[in-house]
Amino acid sequence: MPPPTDPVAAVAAPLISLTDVSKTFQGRRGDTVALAHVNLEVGSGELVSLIGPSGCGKSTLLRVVGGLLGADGAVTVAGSPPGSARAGKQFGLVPQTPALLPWRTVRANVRLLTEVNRGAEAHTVLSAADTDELLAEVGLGEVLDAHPRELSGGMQQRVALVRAFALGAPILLMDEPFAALDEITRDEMRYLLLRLWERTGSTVLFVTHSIEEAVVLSDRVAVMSPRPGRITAVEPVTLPRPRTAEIEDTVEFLGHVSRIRHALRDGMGR
Amino acid sequence: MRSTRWIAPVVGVAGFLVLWELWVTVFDVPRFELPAPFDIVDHLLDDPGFYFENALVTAKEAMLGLAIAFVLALATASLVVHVPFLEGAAQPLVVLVQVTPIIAYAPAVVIWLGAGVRPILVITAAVCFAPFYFNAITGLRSVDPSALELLQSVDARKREIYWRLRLPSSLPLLFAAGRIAIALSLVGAVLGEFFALVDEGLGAAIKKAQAFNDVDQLWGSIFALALTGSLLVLALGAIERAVLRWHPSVRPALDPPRSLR
Repeated sequence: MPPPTDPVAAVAAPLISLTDVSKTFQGRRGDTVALAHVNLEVGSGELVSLIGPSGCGKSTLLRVVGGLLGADGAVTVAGSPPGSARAGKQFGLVPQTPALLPWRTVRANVRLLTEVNRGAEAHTVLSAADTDELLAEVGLGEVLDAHPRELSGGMQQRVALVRAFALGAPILLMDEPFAALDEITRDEMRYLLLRLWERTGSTVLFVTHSIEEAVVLSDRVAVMSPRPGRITAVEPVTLPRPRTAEIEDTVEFLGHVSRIRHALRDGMGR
Repeated sequence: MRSTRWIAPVVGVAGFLVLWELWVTVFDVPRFELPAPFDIVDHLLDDPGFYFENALVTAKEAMLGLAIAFVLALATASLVVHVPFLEGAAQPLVVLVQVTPIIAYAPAVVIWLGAGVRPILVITAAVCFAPFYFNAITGLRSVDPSALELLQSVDARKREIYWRLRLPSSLPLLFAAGRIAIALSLVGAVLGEFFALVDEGLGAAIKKAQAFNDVDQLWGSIFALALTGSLLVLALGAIERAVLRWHPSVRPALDPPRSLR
């Protein structure tokens, strides 16, 4: 097994930069250190996955980048603090649950984020027609006026994906968006996400606990240790793009999977 | 199956009335003590106009008082969910209004505001306020945390979060409060009519009937009130089904997901 890559994951022109980031939650039964001295850089247009065991702070890290949680250390997004990127609608969040509003139709749910904080629209928001087209492309053309409860879990999560892309935000933050789906649907969603992402050129931070998912999607995979979360290894994924399901049978793919698995085990102290 | 759902409630009501009728007949209860239900219905049908007009007066008072309570409670709740200090300040006042028996302060309201419909509306609004207020607070807070975070991730304004997430999320609880408030609003309206020296309304009719020992009019008014309340609850249910079409309580799993069709 080759040695894990340098944990201080630096890139030439980082869009997202975390330097010595720590996060402690204060609770009644004492403090919980969720993140300890995390260093990570994500380049513009890069798709980077955060992988680690449950409770390792990967979702916390995503929220720190998104300006939803404060933290110690230096966090910058395009050179500014995450709060101003958030105020400028630079983030498209895809949460773990689809978080669709049940009283809104598919179409209206997709428009939700573009309707609010309108003053901040500096980037290209998809037009209503383009959004409809995108919905049709992901197989939701027949259910534009349906309500979320009429949709399957996979369809709901596709709406959530389109909602993030419709915003036209340069940075997408995805918090285990496919974790609740069955294996077959998950598999489809990975390649659907790649198709949508490849033509937008957006930067993606993708939290997952699936090694295969991380390898299929990512340019680099950052491996995190259990609490307190640290980045213990960064695996660059050299598989060619555009990627299709065939890459999962290649030796390179299995090599990446194996190296990440070992890095995860090392991080767990096994 | 769905079309037969009305059978059980009808059997329940009819069974109760038949037992009542049997009780009165078998024990030979004098009509001036407790009339038999079918005699009461007979009496109602003798002069339906009288009961209809008075029911309309009472229903209007009840619904107007309820509407006042709804608007005030929702406005107050919307304010206090954003200002915790105000919630703490309002809490004891709302609880005091709720726990003080309405019948105790109703005469005081009439003395303060004078005879007529105004004290009736105040009394009705006072009894309806608390259920709307507490349910509105809980409802406005019971938002999907992921949806809230999603809106915060694009820095949505509090006002935008209120209209797009909090208010729609609170609707199921507001309708639940509405069902409670309808019953309370009739209590408030009838009680208000008792004290407010008015001539119209089923409460006034009951008061007169008691003064003249008119058992027929007494029971006729009670039946008319029961019918009025039932119709109001049914109307609310129809509105709820129309407004909350998206909510699981309205169409529990009738439609399979489209992917299965």
